[in-house]
Amino acid sequence: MNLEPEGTGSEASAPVADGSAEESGGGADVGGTLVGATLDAIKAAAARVEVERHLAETLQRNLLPRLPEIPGLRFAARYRPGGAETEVGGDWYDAIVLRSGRLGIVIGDVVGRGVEAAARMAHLQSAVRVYALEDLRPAVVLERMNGFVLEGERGGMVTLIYAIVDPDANTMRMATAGHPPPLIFRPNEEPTFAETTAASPLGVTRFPVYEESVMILEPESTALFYTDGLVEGPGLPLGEGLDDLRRASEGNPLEPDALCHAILGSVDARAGSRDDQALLAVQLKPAGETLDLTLSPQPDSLTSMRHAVAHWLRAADASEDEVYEMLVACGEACANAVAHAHPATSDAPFELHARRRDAEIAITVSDTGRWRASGQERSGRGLALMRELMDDVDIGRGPDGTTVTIRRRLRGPAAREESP
Amino acid sequence: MTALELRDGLSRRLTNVGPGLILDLSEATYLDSAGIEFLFDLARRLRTSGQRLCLVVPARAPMRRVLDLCDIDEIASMDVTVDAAVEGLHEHAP
Repeated sequence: MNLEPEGTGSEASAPVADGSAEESGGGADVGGTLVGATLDAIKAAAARVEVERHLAETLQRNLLPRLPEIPGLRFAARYRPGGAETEVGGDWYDAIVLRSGRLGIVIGDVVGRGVEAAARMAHLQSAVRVYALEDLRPAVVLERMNGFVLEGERGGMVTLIYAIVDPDANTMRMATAGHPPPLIFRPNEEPTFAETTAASPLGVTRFPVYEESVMILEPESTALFYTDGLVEGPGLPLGEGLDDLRRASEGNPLEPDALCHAILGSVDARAGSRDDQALLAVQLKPAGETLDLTLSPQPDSLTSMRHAVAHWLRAADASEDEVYEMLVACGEACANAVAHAHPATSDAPFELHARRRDAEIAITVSDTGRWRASGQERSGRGLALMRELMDDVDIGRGPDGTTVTIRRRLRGPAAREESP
Repeated sequence: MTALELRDGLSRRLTNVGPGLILDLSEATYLDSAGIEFLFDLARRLRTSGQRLCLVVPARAPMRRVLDLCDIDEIASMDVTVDAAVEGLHEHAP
């Protein structure tokens, strides 16, 4: 974010100005050596600016997170440092995996530029993560963050949106602290800005009021979060910039990666040098016929497996009882893949493929280890459970690993209504 | 909370005083064979001090069928509410 008058944002620009002042102040006495020295000073200062810029950019890029994989959601994000006369730093996005398969989305913007802003952004990013992982509501996260900015750190104001996307319920709940609203793309509709309640940025007032809004996101809809580098620029007021963005977004693809690409392309066409830009697009995936997961053989991955499979089964119209029973069966198959991962290759992933043909669900779990001896009570009970809960269990043991396929026919909504 | 965490938490609190232990599973979202193994183990330990294990499982919880399939009734009683479980424990108390 660049809200300050030129020159105050960075210490590194000072030597350049000093150098040129000295040169003009030298008057008639300008000799070859002095000019040479001044040129060297300018070159050195320019190099320092370049070093700081490079440092800030490296810091910034490394602080931005890798996007997680969440069943039912598709993401893309971009970060682009500002043009030559502006500097890098202070814009960030984050995507945080919450409980029950939900996702927290953060987009924020720190006043200031350069290494300082990038470092400050890192503090703020961690703080939001901590509050988000406490499962706090968006408005509460913003209140806590306001306190954090006021009490815990020095520096100017910060704008921030925190949103929680629930791919099972198709909803997005969000609150904003002075940050422009996300642009929502729905299939066969023109893009519109999400309705949010205006509220002050973080670090401005001691008792801010943050209101939450909840919106439905239909399958295949995409929400685009961005920083003001995208809608504000020299000679472009925020209001016009927002209109510009919306107009330029009409007819854009909904797929996040293609959308980010198209948006940045249209920004380039509209204006030249700008503040830095961060954007993050998240799309609710349409319910697919198949589900393919690659999982690490760690107990943690069983939790994400359960969310993914439950989400997929619900989309395949399974009842809650059916979802639960198939999850248990599936969990037994995966628990064995995790339990007997070979110590030497313990990071070798295992795979889960689920498909639906008419009313029949088939789930295959394959790993590179051997099924544990059935004499062990745990796996004996697990196997028995799988056989009871599914119509068919097939275990294929080969030299390269074990493949467990479990099948079950869904009763379907009609059959469910008949039987109470 | 996982079965492992529950086991660690419980082992420090279990005493041999009282008619038994009531485990409320109403809020539990998932129970697999590891969890069931834990319940069997817990019931065995309680039995050595003459205590009983009561599980609280709501009537319509999907978990009920899984518990039934594992013959949980051999080692524990199942009630729909905590109140019913408390009553049950006291009725059977020696």
